[in-house]
Amino acid sequence: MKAAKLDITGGLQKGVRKFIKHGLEEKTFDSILIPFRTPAKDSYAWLLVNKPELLDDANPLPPVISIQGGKVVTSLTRRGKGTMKTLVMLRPCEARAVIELYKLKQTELENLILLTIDCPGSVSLKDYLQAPGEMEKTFEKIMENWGGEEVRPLCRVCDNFSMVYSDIHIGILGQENGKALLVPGTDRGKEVLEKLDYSMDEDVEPWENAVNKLTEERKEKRKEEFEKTLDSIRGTENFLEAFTRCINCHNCSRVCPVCYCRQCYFDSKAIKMPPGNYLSRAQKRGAFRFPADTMFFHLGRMSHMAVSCVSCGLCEDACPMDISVGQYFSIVGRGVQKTFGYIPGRDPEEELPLVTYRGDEFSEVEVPYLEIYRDEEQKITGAMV
Amino acid sequence: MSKIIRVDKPVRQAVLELFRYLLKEEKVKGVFSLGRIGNEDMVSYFLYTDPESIDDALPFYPLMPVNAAKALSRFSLLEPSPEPVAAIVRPCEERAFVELVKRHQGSLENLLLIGFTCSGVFPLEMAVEGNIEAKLPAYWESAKKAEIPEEIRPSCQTCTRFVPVNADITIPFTGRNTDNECEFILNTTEAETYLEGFGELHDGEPDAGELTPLLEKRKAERKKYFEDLNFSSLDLSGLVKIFGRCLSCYNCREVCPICYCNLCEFVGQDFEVKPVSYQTLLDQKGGCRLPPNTLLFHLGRMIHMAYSCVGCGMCTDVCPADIPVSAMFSYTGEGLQDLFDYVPGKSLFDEPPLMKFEREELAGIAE
Repeated sequence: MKAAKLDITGGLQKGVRKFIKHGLEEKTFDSILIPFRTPAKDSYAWLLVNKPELLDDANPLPPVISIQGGKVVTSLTRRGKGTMKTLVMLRPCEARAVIELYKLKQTELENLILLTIDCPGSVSLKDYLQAPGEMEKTFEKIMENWGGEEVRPLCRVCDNFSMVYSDIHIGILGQENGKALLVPGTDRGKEVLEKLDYSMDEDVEPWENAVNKLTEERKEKRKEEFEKTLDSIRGTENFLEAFTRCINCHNCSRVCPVCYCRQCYFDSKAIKMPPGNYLSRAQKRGAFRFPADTMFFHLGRMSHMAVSCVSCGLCEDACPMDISVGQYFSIVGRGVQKTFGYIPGRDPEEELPLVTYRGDEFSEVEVPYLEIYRDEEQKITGAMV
Repeated sequence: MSKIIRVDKPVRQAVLELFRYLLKEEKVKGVFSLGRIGNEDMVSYFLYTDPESIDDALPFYPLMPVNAAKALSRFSLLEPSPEPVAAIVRPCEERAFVELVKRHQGSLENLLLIGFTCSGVFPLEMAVEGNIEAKLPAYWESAKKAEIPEEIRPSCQTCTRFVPVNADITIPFTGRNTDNECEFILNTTEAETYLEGFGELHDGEPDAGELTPLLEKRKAERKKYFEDLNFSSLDLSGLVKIFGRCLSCYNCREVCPICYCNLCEFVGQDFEVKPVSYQTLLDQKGGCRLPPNTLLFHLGRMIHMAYSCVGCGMCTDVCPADIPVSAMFSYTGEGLQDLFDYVPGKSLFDEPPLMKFEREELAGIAE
């Protein structure tokens, strides 16, 4: 595979801006969705723009993820694809969320051009808000060292930091100074690059090698770190303790790009019970926690979305009680995904495991159950099992 | 003239004793109170039904994991409690619950409300950092002396409505030495019935004189706080600056005890933008913010609930972007409430201003 060269001698931001501006001027696409620094310069917000001159303040890779790009794309396309072609600048985990949302019928891909970039991770929202100026500098260091202790725990062990699925990907790793790659990921991406007269002269091998090497390192690190995390929440008691501080605000679900439901089941009428119900539940154990159903919510949400969890960590960033909810969901998510051989956001045509029926799925789980519980089943049902 | 019961015990012990009494005598079937949860500096509301488990209750713990009005609303949303239940809550929680009851989101029936004069709570962040326990001794001392405890939330430092108004029973806490003495002021005949046999009734005039200097202090704090934030001269660009870092996570609305809607108007379909409208916006302005309607949400929510805002401060406490939401809503709320001569939660029988029609209302503006 070959890629085009992106000149970044004036810096990565400038180089990317030049590329997308060029596309806008040539009308290869009609608008661009990309993060900008807020007027108070204290965070980043997403803007949809169609005037090339406005792009001077855009940042293709800000130090912090304020709102997950997947969510932002949904707000653009939820009411249909429209006629406007939009280039969307995303981190890899954001693009993966877009693909999951596409499968969940929450967005359209037809008029979108997904542009992703090698990502060194991001700093936590909390850290960023405390010292925005300083964090901008910290991020320069993060870009140089490709990671570090300043990035969020989930980013430190992220093994999907490069191209997973996108129309065009900006490869930075394994490149000489002043140069990056524009890697086409789809025919659409290839077409855009061709229209803009980019010739595919660059060898992608050095980039691929660098990505593969780091991926292996990260996989090791992830295993190591997450074994520790998993140990800390193993068993009912530890797991409950991990969520002790939860105040039931459900903000993890509202910032989650995959949790798209307008009305979450756990906020719905279905779980609101008459007072007598709460009283009798309290009587069973002496006391009953209010607001109710804290663990029910987390476990329920987990079973609803873990299979599509892209480990972006936004839930963790938005948790007012600083619970490591993103790490827990990432661990469980990866486990579930592994059993289904599924990688969220890998391919828009890949079917979601929970909506695909297979006659003999997980039959290996069923057999031991019968072996272990044959007698009890027989006692209960009185029949031969 | 009120009836007062005095118990010669530390205030928390006295309250727990009352709870045990109410449960054992089957005067109530359950008690709502803050209580310890887990091994950290953390509390949660609990519905206690077992007199033994009451030992874990920490009714005066200076932390608000959730505005109790939300917990009480969840409890009595579908119907009034079939059995009597007692609840000990802070003044802003009690007032928020009264506002919710006016909106049919809960019921005061079969509910014995116990309130106390409140010295404020620490930010939730302090529970996360795990250093509340270390600050407690200084907090209790400040409370005793009717001072503003250090490091409590800005919304509490500037709160001027720290005395319960609807409670069946009031416990003087702030400005009193409650190390070995606790008073239960019985404000209603229901309270007298519930507490019959619990202790000797005295006639007394509830005297909150010790709180007057604190009220003055807090009023001054409030004035200064709002002046420093410069809200009175805030224009559109100022609003954009403040709310620019908003994530549109709507957590301010979620934890707000007044915002009860199951489906907020601003997440409904009506506020989704059609592709063609984006096109128009871009043609007009060259750019627009996504997700859309950030400021519209805050201003809209303000219009919907500010006249009932009790200034509990939960919104600021949970905002991941550290926006002083509560200050702004409390400031606007106060102005609006003064305009309508309405004090949210003061009485169940005061109709919310936007729910009643008055022909002559605000005629000055119409001219």
